[in-house]
Amino acid sequence: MELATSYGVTNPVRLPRTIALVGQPNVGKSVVMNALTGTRAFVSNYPGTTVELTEGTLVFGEKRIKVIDTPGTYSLHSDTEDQRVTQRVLLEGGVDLIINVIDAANLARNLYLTLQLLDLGIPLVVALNQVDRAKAAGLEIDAKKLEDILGVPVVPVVATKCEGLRELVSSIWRGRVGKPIRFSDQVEEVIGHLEREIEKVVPEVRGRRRSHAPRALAIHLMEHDRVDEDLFEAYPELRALVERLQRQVGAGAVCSRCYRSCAFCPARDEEHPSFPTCLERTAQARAIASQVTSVRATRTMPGALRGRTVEDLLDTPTAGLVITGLTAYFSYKVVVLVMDLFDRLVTIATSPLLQWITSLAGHFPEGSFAGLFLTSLPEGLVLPFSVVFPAMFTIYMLMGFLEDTGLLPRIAVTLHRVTSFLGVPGQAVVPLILGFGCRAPAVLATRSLPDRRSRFIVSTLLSMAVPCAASLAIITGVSQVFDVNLLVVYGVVAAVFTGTGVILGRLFRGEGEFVLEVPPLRWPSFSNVWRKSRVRMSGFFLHVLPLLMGVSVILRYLVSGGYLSFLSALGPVTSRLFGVRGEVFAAVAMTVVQRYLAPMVLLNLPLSPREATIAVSMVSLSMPCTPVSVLLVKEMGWRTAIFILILALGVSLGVGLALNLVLP
Amino acid sequence: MWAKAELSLTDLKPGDTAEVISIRKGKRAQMRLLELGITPGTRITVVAAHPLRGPVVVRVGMLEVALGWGLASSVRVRRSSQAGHL
Repeated sequence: MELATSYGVTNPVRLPRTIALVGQPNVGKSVVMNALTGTRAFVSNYPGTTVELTEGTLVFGEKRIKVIDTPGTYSLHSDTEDQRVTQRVLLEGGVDLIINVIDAANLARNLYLTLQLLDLGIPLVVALNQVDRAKAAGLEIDAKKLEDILGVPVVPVVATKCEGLRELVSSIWRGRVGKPIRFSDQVEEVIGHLEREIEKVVPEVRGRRRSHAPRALAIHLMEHDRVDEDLFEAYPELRALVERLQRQVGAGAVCSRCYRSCAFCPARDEEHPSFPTCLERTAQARAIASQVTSVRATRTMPGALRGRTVEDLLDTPTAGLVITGLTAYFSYKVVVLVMDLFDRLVTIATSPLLQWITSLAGHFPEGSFAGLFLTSLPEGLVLPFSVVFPAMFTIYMLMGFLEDTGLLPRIAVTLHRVTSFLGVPGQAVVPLILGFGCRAPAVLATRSLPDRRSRFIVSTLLSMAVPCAASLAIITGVSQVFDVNLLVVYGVVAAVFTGTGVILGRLFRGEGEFVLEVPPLRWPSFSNVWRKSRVRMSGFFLHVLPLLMGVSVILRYLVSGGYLSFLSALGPVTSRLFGVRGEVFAAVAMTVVQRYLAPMVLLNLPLSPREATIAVSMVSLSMPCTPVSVLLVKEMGWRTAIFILILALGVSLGVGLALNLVLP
Repeated sequence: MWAKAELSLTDLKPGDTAEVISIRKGKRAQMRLLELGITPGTRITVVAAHPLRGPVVVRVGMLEVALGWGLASSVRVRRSSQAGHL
């Protein structure tokens, strides 16, 4: 309580135990989260950066408050998987207080969600973020007036500069349920009717307290296009009610004021205007926004805002193409340059050490474990640092810059026409680009895609035909050893990527409308890019390095001990069909564990350039690694995961067959 | 003054300002546009129109939103005077 006083709270009421940060995409929730709790949630400049819940703790002396950062959601009825994560948290009812982060520069649209949150009956505090950007655009927002209208604390903040956060924290005690808006009489009548029905079946005191106002549940039912399983999970009593209403409505007992748009109405008409509550809420949000906003500067009509001209220029199709092309070319050049540099440096730096290790290995008897360990140490140690580390690091840094600028969604818009051949909307390029870093977070990032179909296609492409930074590096490194024709390898990867996409896009047709918010351009902050790259690189030291070292020792042991010789028995068959020796299939199998480990198997085999080209192509297009498979099961279900696994194995074998026929 | 004829969003050129009259697409599409602040009555400015039936980028308030061609063509609009003369 002492601390409460130091935060300027004179009369602290009940402390919330769990706070959820909720807001529309790209308003800066994660910045607020990091500033409040010291977590390191990733911050980028595109909608859909956060697709999972992040938990942190806000500490006040003795008290610890759990803070949950949620994926951005436009509304409580939005329909992508990441937005539903947020809705589920609010439905489950463990949240005592919501901090609604809103973007001061886009007040009207942000208030739409705020008005929905007011309906929930959960205490609310509004963090009016990016007031600096609004001010720069000549918009002055009267926080006090907004506070009066909404009936909840409104705190202006600039989260990136930590301004106003103290005030935000101290306002947690003032969090209130606020004043929900009233709709037109017609709509209120329907809500009232539903509310009374809900009150009858959902008792006030259940095992745990009822966490939502019946009004909120009534509106939720009205606004959901399909009946919401998440709602039934939280309130099983509602299922019977909805079914009863559906039967009544179906039997002709149409509600006295029918809008043909409730979740349970069979008379739904696709051409019917959107839900009346949504349209009315939009109008009210706009009215509130214009009441509290004053346009300060003289020349601030929307067309003439500062910085607009640059964005207008960059949004033209030609600029989009140039940006996309330059980004791809520049990224490639930088990666190659850095890898080359590291290769030389690491080789020079480590060669005395390696010579010493090799000479040391000579002292041990042939086949002894110590000897084996020492001979395999160089490749387990040099390859990660000379090839994998620079590739991963450069790709992560480039990705960080790209994420921060706001160019990523612009590339998505430019490439929408191209990706639509693969049956997916333009925003699919975001997870695909992320996949070149690591495919596991990329599979998660597909949550921001609009439908299951697109998620499936993009996840399949990611699992099969997108090499992650580590694999890319190892493939390049191993290819140099065997004089592999990399042009063939990457040509095959590109062909399979395109082919699979086009075929899946044709097989699973869908109407999928493309709608994407394009955020304002920003200068990337180096410290943010650096921090993100460092966090992402932790995977290198935690998984990549130990795995590469461990596996290279084990493999040398297996090969020199002749344990893989049973595979060479397959030799006659495999060399006929695929043009490779049987042991190569150990590498193909290895891709299930980690794709970047597979080329290490090849490193232990005496391969000809042709054999190596085929083998490297086969492992470059192979099964999803274990972390990705686990995520596929979690995100898409068993059947889809197994389908992708089998398809990937089939493609890998098919590529081997085809190359054996085609290559001279 | 422009004639108050109803047009499709895809008929507009970059720089044009218009008011949305209706969205002739299913409820799902209407809701997705509503989430991004585009409803009947919204004033929008076309920022870019990508070739070959590519996306149309419009500005709504201070935000930019890209719409696929199919969706854009279902958005009926009425040209309004330039934003600066409001």
